[in-house]
Parts: sequence; C-alpha cells; structure tokens
Amino acid sequence: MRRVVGVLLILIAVLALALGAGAAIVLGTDNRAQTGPHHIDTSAPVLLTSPDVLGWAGLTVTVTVSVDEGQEVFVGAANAVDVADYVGATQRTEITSYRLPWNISTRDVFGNQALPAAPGEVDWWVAQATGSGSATMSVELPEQAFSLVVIAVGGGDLQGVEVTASYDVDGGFGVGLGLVGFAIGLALFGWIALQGRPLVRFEEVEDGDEEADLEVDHAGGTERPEPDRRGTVR
Amino acid sequence: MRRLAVALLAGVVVATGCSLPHPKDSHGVTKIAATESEAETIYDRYRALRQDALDMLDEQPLTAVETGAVLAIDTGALMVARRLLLTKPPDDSQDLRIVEVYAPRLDSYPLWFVAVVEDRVRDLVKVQIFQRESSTGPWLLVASPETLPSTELPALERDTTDALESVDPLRDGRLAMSPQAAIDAYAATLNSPAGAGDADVSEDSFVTQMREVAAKQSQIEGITFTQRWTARPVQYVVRASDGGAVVFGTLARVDRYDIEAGRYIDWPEGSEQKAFLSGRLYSNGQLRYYHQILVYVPPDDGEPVVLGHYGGVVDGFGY
Repeated sequence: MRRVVGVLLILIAVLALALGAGAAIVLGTDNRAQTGPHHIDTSAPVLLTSPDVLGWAGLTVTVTVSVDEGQEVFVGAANAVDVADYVGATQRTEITSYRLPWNISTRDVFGNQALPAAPGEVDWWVAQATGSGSATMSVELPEQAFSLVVIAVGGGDLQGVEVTASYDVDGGFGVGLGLVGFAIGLALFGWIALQGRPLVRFEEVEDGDEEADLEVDHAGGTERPEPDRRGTVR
Repeated sequence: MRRLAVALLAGVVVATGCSLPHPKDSHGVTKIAATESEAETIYDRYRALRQDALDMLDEQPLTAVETGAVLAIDTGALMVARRLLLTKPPDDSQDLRIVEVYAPRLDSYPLWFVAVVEDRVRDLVKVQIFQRESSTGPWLLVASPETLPSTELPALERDTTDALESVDPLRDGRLAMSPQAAIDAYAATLNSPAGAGDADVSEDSFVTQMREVAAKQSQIEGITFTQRWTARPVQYVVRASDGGAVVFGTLARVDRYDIEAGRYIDWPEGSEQKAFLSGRLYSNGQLRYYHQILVYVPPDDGEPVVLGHYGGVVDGFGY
C-alpha cells in the first residue's frame, strides 16, 4: 500500500513539476506569453472570435491589431450576445477555433458592408481601443460568453490585418515556481513512502506512565536494536 | 506532521486554483440583461427626460425613453393635461426611486428587465419593464402597471445565478392557465355583462372599476354607448417563487358613442373626451384606450387576479 501511495505521489509531483516549470518558463518574470504577429486572410470589414473560442476566464489578453497605414481600426471585447446582434447582418470573418500557440480556423460570413452603428457609439464594450494603422487593447476574460472584435472604421476592410496576442496571468510566474516547490515536496513524501519507513513511531510506555510518548522521527527512520543472533549456552 | 503536510498541500492547491485561468461557467451564449448599476443609469436618463416632458407638457422627450402602449398612454395623458391647463396648473413633480431590479438571463435581443419603482409623489409602486430592442438601440420603457403600496407583490423566482426566471406566455405548465389565456380571459370578462357567471378570472377591483366607468357612460341620455375589449399578445411573464406567474398584459379598449338624430353632446371642460373629441358631438365618436395590467396567475388551480393597472385614452375621433 505504501509503495502504491509513494508511486502516486511521485507521479503527481512529476506532473506538477512539468506544469509549474512550463508555466514559469512560458510566462517568464513578466507573467506574459506572446504570439504573433500573425496574418489573417480576410477581405471583410469585421473580424471576430466565436463565443466558444475564448473558453477560459481569469486570463488577461492583450491584442494588437495592425492594418494598412491610414486605415482606422477598432478593437473591442464584449459579451457574445451583444456582439452577435451587432454584427449579425454584416460581412465578417469569424475565428471559429483557436489552439495555442497560434492555430486558428476561420469562416467567412457574407452580409452588409456597414455595421448598424459605429463601434464607438454603443455602450456595451467591456474594453476597446481605436487607432490609425494599429490599435492595442487589454481585457481580462470574464466568466460570461465573450467575443473579441476587430472593425475597419469609416469604410474599408481588414485586408492585410495582422494580430499579435499576449496572455497575462497575474502572478503566473510565482504560481509556476510555487508548483515546482510543491512538486519537490510531494516527491520527497513519495520517496519516503516508497522506502517503506514509518513517519512516526511509538515508544514503549513505561510502567506507571499512563500517556504514551509520541516521538516524530525527523530523520526519516528509527534505530531498532539488532536481535541477538548469538547462540545461547546453557 | 501528517496534518501539517495535508494542510500545506490543500493551501497550495487552493492558492494555485484561485489565481490560474479556469474554464468558463456553463451558461452558454447568454447575458444577464442588466446589472443593478446599469439599471440605475438607464433609470436616471428616463427620470430626466420624463421630467422634461412633464415640465413642457410635451411628449417629445418621452419618445426617447418610452415606446408602445406606455408611450401612447403618457402621450394621451399629456394631451389631456394641456387641455386641463385651462382650468388648473398641472402636477409636474416626480420622485421615482428604484426599489428592486430583476433581470433575466437571455440568449438574444431584445433584452429586458423589471424595475420595481417607488413613486413617492403619488404614493404608488410602479412595476416597470425596460426593453432594448437591439444592441444599437436605446433602453425604452414598455410597461408600467402601478400598484397600491398596500398590494403585496408575489416574490419573484431567481435562478442560481440571481437571474430572473421568465415564463413562456403561451404555456400553462404548472399554472392555472397560460399567461396569454389569463389576459384573454380578462378581455372576455369585460366584454360580458356583470354577473354573467362564465368568467375564468375573478371579479376583482380592476374589473369592478372598469364596469363602473362603462355604466356611467351608458347613462348619458340620447346616446348608445358600446365598449369593446381586446387582449394584445403577451410578451413578458416572470415566474413567482410559489410556482405561479406574474404577467404583464395589455388590453385595448374602444368606447363608442352613437348619438340619436337631432341631439348632441357637449363634453365637460378638462375631460379626456373634450381633449380628444373637441367641440360638440352630433353623430358618433370613438375613444381608444390602453390598459396595462399586472396579473398574478396562481399555480395549479385558482383564478388570476389583477395586482396593478396603468391606462388611459390614446386617441379618438368624432363628428
């Protein structure tokens, strides 16, 4: 039983070590992982992520969008219900799946060239940014269904658009290091369990002493008297 | 030592779990229609524009914050008030405060929410619905039935995410009758003479009050008075905590006056008839009204009952 527990603890420790070290290496001391710039093939005025693409919460995403020089571009983030109604009748390219670090699938939806209102006129953006030629926006992904949207403002389209994304995990580097430390500790416990040595021992109760003394063996083992292997002469 | 190790382990796991990104909740593509602070912002705008409309006795500011039957009722009331200006100054004061906001979780537009509002000037409670038709449109007041402060509103059911539970207007699951059937039954009851005995709804204070108004009009000599009620499609129904439903219904009413040959009617100064059917009426006249009613439909069996009401004349013609 002890050996099984020991092996299990070591396996978990290896997993935690890989996760922690991986997170610490990928995020670095600035707690940020970056990918891009990546070109996305589109001729639509609107580019957005489908609601199920951003299936995680608690992650801060920073998106930088670059388009042709002089083209006004808007990048925003909002609840998917608002976005679906807003872009519903407009020509657009939707990012339908995304895998790290940058593996996307897209689909083109045909419709009107113009949105029902300028993006700056609606009040439900959680985060937004506008710029000429490029724009950068940061948002912490919330629990609700969410979409990121890029819009060519004032006519035009998003041909030649390039996207750079970075992911910020507050304290991610520290958590990674914490996981490494935790893994090392767990591995030690596992190793001890694997050795089959007890972590505690009970000493014999002396006559008249009603309470047993519990002594923890910090050295990881106990010394037991060797049995007398000599013969006995009678 | 073991306890210390377990505590350490639990601490690390909890701390790690809290700060790491995690998969989202499983509510799909939905949205709580409005938070309390959003509702307050929406109401601030409504309150300001309503005050402008009252100050000027002009419905124009209201068109930016109201729509449908409630706008028609308020427009009619302002028109009557303009006529009343001839005899007495209008009451343009208001003190409206949100008491409670109930917002459902919705998967598409239109979005809507319920605001329970205290009207401290008129000592009433307004149970209002604001709706946003599209993501680019404004929030507009679409229903505003009023209850007396003594009327106890049923507790409304919220789900585990604090979202208000809505009910399909055409389904009667767990209810005495479907919400639409309840509003249809009120129209049928008001179209039947009192005491007909075939009503599916209770002869409550709303029914009694409307019957009294009709009886009074019928007493005018030399005219034939007819009144017709029709129910409009129900859009908003919310679940009560006891399994019943609270229905926001609208009834349309048409009052018709046919005058005997050689006679005429002079309406009293300041009356809604005078406002809409100005001058003497020699042949016939017609006034249209909207009545927004708040109806409680009990679970299982029992009769629906009107909890609140807001109505008035919306247009008319005659000669």
